[in-house]
Amino acid sequence: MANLPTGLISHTRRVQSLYKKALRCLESWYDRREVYRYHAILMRKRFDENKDIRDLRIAKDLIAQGEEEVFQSNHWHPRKFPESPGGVAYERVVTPPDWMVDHWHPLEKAQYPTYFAKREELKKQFIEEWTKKYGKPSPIAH
Amino acid sequence: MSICLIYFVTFLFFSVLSFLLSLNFMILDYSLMLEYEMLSINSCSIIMTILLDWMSLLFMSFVLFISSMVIYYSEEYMEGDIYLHRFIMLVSMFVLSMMLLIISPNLISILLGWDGLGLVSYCLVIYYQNIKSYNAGMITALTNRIGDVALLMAIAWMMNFGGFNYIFYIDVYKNSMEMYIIILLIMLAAMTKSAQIPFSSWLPAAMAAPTPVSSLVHSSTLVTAGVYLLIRFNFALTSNLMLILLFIGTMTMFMAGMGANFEFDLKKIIALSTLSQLGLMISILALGEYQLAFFHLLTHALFKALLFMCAGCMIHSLSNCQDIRYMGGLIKVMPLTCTYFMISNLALCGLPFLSGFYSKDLILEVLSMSYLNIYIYVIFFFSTGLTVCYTFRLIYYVLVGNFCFYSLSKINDNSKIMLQGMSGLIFLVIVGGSMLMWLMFPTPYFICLPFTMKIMALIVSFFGAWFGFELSKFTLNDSLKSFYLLNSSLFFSSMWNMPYISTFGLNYYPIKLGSKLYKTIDQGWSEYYGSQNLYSKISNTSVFLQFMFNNNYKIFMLLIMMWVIFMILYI
Amino acid sequence: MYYKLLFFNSLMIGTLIAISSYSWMGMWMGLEINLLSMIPLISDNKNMMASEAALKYFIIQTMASTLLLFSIIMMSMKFMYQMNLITYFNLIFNTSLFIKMGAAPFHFWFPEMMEGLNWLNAIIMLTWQKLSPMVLLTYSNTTSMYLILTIMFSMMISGIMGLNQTSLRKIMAYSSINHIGWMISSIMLIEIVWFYYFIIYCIITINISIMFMKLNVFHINQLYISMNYHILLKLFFALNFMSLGGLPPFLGFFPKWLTIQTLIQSNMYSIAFIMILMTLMTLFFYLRITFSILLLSKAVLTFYTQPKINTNYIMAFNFITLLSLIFVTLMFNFL
Repeated sequence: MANLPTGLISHTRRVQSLYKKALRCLESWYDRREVYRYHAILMRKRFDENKDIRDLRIAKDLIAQGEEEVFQSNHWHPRKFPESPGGVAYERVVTPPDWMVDHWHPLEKAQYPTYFAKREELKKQFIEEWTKKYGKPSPIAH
Repeated sequence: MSICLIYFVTFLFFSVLSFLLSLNFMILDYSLMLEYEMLSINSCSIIMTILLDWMSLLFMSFVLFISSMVIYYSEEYMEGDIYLHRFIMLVSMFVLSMMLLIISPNLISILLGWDGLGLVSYCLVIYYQNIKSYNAGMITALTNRIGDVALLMAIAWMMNFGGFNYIFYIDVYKNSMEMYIIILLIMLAAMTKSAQIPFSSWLPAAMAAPTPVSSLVHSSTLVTAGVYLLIRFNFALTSNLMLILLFIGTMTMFMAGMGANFEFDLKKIIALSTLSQLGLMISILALGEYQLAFFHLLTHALFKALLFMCAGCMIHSLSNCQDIRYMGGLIKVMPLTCTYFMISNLALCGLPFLSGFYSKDLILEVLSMSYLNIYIYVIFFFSTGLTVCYTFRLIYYVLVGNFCFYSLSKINDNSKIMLQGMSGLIFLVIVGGSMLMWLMFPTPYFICLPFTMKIMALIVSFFGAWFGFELSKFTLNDSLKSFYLLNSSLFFSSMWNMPYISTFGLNYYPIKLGSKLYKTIDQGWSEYYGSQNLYSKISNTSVFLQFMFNNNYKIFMLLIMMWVIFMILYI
Repeated sequence: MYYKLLFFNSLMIGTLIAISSYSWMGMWMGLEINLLSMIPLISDNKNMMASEAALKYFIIQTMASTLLLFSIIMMSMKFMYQMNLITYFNLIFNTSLFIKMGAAPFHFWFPEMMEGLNWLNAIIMLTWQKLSPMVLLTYSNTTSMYLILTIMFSMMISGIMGLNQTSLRKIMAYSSINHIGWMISSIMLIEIVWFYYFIIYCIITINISIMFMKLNVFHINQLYISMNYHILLKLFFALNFMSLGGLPPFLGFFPKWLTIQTLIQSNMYSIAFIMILMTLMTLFFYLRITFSILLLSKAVLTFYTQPKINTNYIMAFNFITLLSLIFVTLMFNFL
């Protein structure tokens, strides 16, 4: 689970992430830029009002309220770029890894003779360079 | 010659051919039925039947025409995709199964096409291999599976009547309870395929497919299969079923129109608009006007395909971005695409003399003429207004205003092949309605209405347009209405919670029960009273016996001798 | 070592005398010749286990022969017929034969003794030495109750005892006990079925044991090492075990099929059911051997030289044991 809390989150970071979440939320509600800017400034003002609170009990209470408010006013369709996680085109294009080509059938390989000749050459070169750099791999007794 | 071009030419040829045949059949009032008897079991013959009349030929020609355009279009849309061949093959398989569905008046051969549609649409929805497509494909396939099962059950039930050619029995379905079951099942199948209310959650989800697929499959062909089936069966619907269908159709229309007003995904808005139009077709069908439903089906297929193609063009230019909040001001950079977009949108709204007008206005007027309650009247006109409303909201977001995507982007109208594919359709989108009207209704409908009712469609459209513009307009310090009514917004935007109902609502308790049973039965008691315990008992016995046999050799021999002596003693 | 040739011949002759003589005395004599020539074959001056096994074998067989002789003599007396006591001496007669072949309640000597043999002697013990007692059983008057009792015991004991064995010779011994159960049931009903069963059982057992002999393995864990260089042999080995267990596409299914059919035709449903069920346990330990060497683990040793094996005739044998179910089934039409 990637989103398990693995460390203590400081108060500052909590405020910062709340601010960012609030802005993202506003962004999906107010979808013209100038309107969004206006509301973002209002939101900044709300944060700025409470920035000098030294009493951590009140500050904690406020931040809990703020998180609740953000959660309650979530948009049903948050604004996401298509390639970012959760967007429509996220992980849409599957690129097969390069080593897949090595597993082609010889008959398939025979259809692209020049490419595969070059590829073998490059492979040999790579192994050579590797051994020059790191030395011969120790024989694995299995 | 690319594969797209080959299929484009083939489909276009067959489209023109079947259109001409359809005209010929229409003039001669002729229909052709081919039967090939496969085998006969229990005096029930299994027949491959092909029915060619003007209706099936006309529908075929439209489907082929749209698919030829879509295939031509996808040459550029899918450009650089390494699986383009698979894509085109799948689309052609899809068209093939649609053909099978259209021309067969026999439940078994319908099932061939029907199941083909289900399978191929699943393969097309999961064409992009990410989690979203996978989920969408699963819900699409499983929802359609309900309809397949209903159709299979209908086939099994029709065995009682000695044949699967439903067209022969069309007049007697109403008469007996046994036949009534068939028509119930058929109605269920049609409702799943046409995404009517309990089953509508798959249609917006299926927008995870590539846009050409949405254009062909999820707007004009696949979802109309259910309507087509009902058109073929319409004489068999009893009045009760008609009322149920009418209710469901109107509710779907209203639900989808409402949902489209809250949606931000370009393709999903169009999908919901499709759903709304499907509701319209089903409800006019339920009023007994099957020809009008067919008419609207054809015109809708035209402008909806074009609408999706325009949307695809925009999405393509915006590098896969579908969110309309990122668009805006596209009219300045993509004038031709936006013109097409506007034309098909207005055809959808029913602007006079575009193709949508002829079918939609006729439907509304026929509805006004008929003797119905106020609920039906209000919901019909309200949904019409909603259609215009979301259309104008869409236009406002996409075409007007400032551009909201990346600051640096290159958007233009240079995609030649896509524009050509769209231009192939635009002519029919404009004139298709009037043309079809002259063809299909040689004697015009007689409409006699008071002025207010006659003008009602225009009034609701006008108000819809106004609201659509007004509701989505932003001023600097405005109060967001949908934010202050958040709960109802959530309800409407999620299609009346239908996606949750048809996923979690169905799965939650069975899965919970399954996990319990797995824990207690599979991994628990049945292991304890079954294999594991048996094995441990046996191997304990084995250990015990091994212990016994570790005795001295003498003892065993003594035991044998005792056995012999006992035997002698008992003699 | 040349004396073994002599004794092997007299072993054969003993069995042949036993199964072809017209009098019980002749049969007893044949059995004695057979026993006395088996003893020198077993003994091996390099290994104390062998002489122990020879002694065990000698003692138990002698006791069985004594019982045999006793029951023969008693049965030949006149008062037996008058008092209708012949049945009880038949039981003693059968007991002595069961001891000789190692059927279940009298089987205790058999795995113990097998443990001391090399594979060649084990082959003789598993196959040829079963022949004369079984043929004699077909000649004698049998009580089906007693036979069924023995069958049940053979089935259960072999299945249960085999589960925890690691020695391949013991496993083969228990498998042999299991097959003895099947063979007794076919003797009980139709002798020709027993004949098929015996021949096919012999072929499969000889095949498997020859593989063991060639690879020189005596325990399960040695199989992981020695089968690695002969992948094909490994596969055939596994399939042979399935054949021995009686799985359908292989030859071993055929005699079981016939036996089950005869049992069912004679309305012996419950015994057939129990026999099939108990055979599953033997099948389980066969499969445990084969699956673990095929799928689970593999050991490669550094200083290990694989014995060279001429696999040609093993392949030929395998052809018979694995593929000939169809031919044998066809052949049944002509018999």
